[in-house]
Amino acid sequence: MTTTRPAAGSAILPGRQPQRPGRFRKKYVEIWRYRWIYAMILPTVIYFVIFAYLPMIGLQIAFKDYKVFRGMWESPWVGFEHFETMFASEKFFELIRNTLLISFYRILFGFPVPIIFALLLNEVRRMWFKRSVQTVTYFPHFLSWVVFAGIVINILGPTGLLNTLIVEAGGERVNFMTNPDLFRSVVVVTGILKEFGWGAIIYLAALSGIDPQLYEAARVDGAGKLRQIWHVTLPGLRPVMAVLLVLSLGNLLDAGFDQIFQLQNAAVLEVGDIIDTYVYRIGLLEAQFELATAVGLFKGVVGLVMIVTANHVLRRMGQRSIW
Amino acid sequence: MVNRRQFLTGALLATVTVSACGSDSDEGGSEGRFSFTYLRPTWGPATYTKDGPYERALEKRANVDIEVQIIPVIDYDTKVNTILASGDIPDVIWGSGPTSATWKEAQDEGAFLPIDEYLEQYPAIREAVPESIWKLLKDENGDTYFIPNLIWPQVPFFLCYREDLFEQAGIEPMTSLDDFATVVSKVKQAFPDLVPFTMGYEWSAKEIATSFGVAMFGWEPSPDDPERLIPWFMKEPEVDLYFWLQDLHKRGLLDPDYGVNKEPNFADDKFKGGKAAMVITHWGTIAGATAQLRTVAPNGSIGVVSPLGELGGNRLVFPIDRGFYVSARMENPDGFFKFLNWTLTDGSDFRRWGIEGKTYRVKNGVKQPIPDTERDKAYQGPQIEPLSFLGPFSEKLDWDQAKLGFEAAGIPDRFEYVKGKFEEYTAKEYPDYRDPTARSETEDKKGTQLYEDYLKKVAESTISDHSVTRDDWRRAVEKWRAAGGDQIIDEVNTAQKDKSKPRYIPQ
Repeated sequence: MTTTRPAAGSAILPGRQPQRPGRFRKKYVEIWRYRWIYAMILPTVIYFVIFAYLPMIGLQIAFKDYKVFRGMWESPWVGFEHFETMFASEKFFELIRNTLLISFYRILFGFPVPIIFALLLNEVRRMWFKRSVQTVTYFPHFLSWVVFAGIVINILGPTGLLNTLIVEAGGERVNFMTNPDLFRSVVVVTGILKEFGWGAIIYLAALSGIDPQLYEAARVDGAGKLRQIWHVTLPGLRPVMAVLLVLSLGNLLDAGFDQIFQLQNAAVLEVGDIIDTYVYRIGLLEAQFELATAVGLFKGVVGLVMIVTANHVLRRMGQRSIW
Repeated sequence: MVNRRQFLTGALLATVTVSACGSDSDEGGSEGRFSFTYLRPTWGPATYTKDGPYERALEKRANVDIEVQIIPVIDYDTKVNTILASGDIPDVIWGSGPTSATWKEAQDEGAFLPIDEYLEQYPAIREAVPESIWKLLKDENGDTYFIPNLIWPQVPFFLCYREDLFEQAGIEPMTSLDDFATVVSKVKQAFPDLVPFTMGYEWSAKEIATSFGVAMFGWEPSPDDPERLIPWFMKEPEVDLYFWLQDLHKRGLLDPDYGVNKEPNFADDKFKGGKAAMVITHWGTIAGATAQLRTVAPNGSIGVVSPLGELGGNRLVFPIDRGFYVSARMENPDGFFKFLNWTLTDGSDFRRWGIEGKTYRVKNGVKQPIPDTERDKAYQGPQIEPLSFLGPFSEKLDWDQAKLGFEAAGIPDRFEYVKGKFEEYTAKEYPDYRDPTARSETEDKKGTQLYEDYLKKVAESTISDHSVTRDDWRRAVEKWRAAGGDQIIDEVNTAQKDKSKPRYIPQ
């Protein structure tokens, strides 16, 4: 009869499981080993728990008739009443259309601009010029939309710089700010002007990470500047571009409240009124916080769906995804 | 030897002890003083500095400590709604009062203190406000919560013109709606570099609306049924006004910046800066505007066009522009009402005039306010406005003060002229027939949304968007009515029994 001898020290006693390091213990040991690294990330975790997750408790007012002085918990439930109000609004589909169109135009025309700018800037060899251009193009990012919109109106307004030049040249005044056919273009172009310099930073950082030997190899193979950009630079940027595209799709229902609120006027409401400006007028000015929360929740859910879908599509396409 | 932990603990205890001593000594500085927190909007520049000399003088005289927080009026409603939503409100807070659904709801939820017993205890407060207004502010149970900020209901917006330029070009001011466009066209031709006519927003045209026979933005009896009140956008003459203004805009006679420039004073600024020939402006600003105009046009002179046509007059305003509530959680409300009473009795002189040599001077035994431009910064309007509370209705139209303003601006001879124009405008009254306390449940619930969804486009863009037609306007009103507007009209008419012409000015 053949018997198998248990290994020394691993005798199985009746009623006891074998002693082996569990997954949790292993994790614990690992965490303890890197405890100071974890300690460094702790403030960030605490920050998100306090300022991003705990406030989600307040989302319940989207389903309540919120009574300020009775408090969130004591206010009566009303089910989906505020969502019904939102979807029943005649303006709802106009708002969705405007928001999506403006966001879509922003991505279509705004997404490539910082990339092209970063590529151009990357080719500049004189550092003083490169730094000057960078500073000048970053600067508008630090201006609030109140200030930047003031500048835009002073240039494009009915008595602004451009119209003064047109009228002085014998032309007819053009209503850039009140013409519904031009409003979205004004929004997209001014948005790009303000942010393209700032948006280029991340691409410039990614460009500095591309191995110079790849350029050398391309040159040896006879590639010119454009070929190098096409075959080396753009593939090097592709992971960053994919991540930023996914993130921007998550914000598809945020068409830029600050900018549109400042540039908008009643004449362009049909093409320029977005979800956020409408919610501001109805929800905050008229203290209908429940409706504002319901719309916020709707936007959040749509944003989540968009970001998950885009991430999934990117993964299927073999691109680097966020998770 | 003291280790590190013991040292830190000791240091922490010492800090706490010193802090506690510090706060004791602070209280000692204002020992026995009643203190309260106060949130209010400011109409002037928001440059208030805490604990300035004026504030210290007021607090010393009244034996109070006021913790003031200000918000510029343009942002007030938005920000105060957020503060209300937090449920943590200051002791005394400005708001729109029971005529606003939001504030009425907070009032009904017990956020504010009923004040009737204090009004009995301090009659100066009760007497500062006309009895008819106190009656209007009572809730369904007969309780009063709100102390109104009173304004004089006659606030005509004058149609002003550059008298010097009109004389120079030999143009006579308009006398009716019919010759309005002709006169403005002549001005445009004579002074092509100037904006011929400007105004800030729709409400500026409220006196012109009276020439169309309507009280702008007011509910008035329906032409078919005098016992039924209808809202402003259903009144044909008011729609006529909008398309009349659209025509002026289309012909380049109304400022092209109208509807685009968001700066509330842009029209006044253009006129005072010598860049516009005509403007509609608040009657009380004429003296200051003349002084400013003369800095750019030394011979500049401002004339006032008489009310246009036979119907022209004054659109009266409701005599309350916000006001304040006392929090139900205030620890010592009696202390606040005692202070408020002081401002209307023993402290009345200080409230009206301030400090001799700083905010007023005495000339020939008569007190005269020192113009803001001549005062030390610490005593200018922005330092005083945040500390103001209730002004009696009887002080709201003060011709003596107005006269002093004209003297200070160096145009004392224009005072009688402007007063005469004021009387011309106010000879015919156009009030809003709706009692603002007559609530409609549908309006409270979805009134804003109905306006936003159906009416905002026509109501706010007709003048500057030339593609808007009367048919658009009619369709918008029909949709509004079908979506709940008719219900609002019914509910308002049911809630308001008395549909006679309201009288705001005590006879």
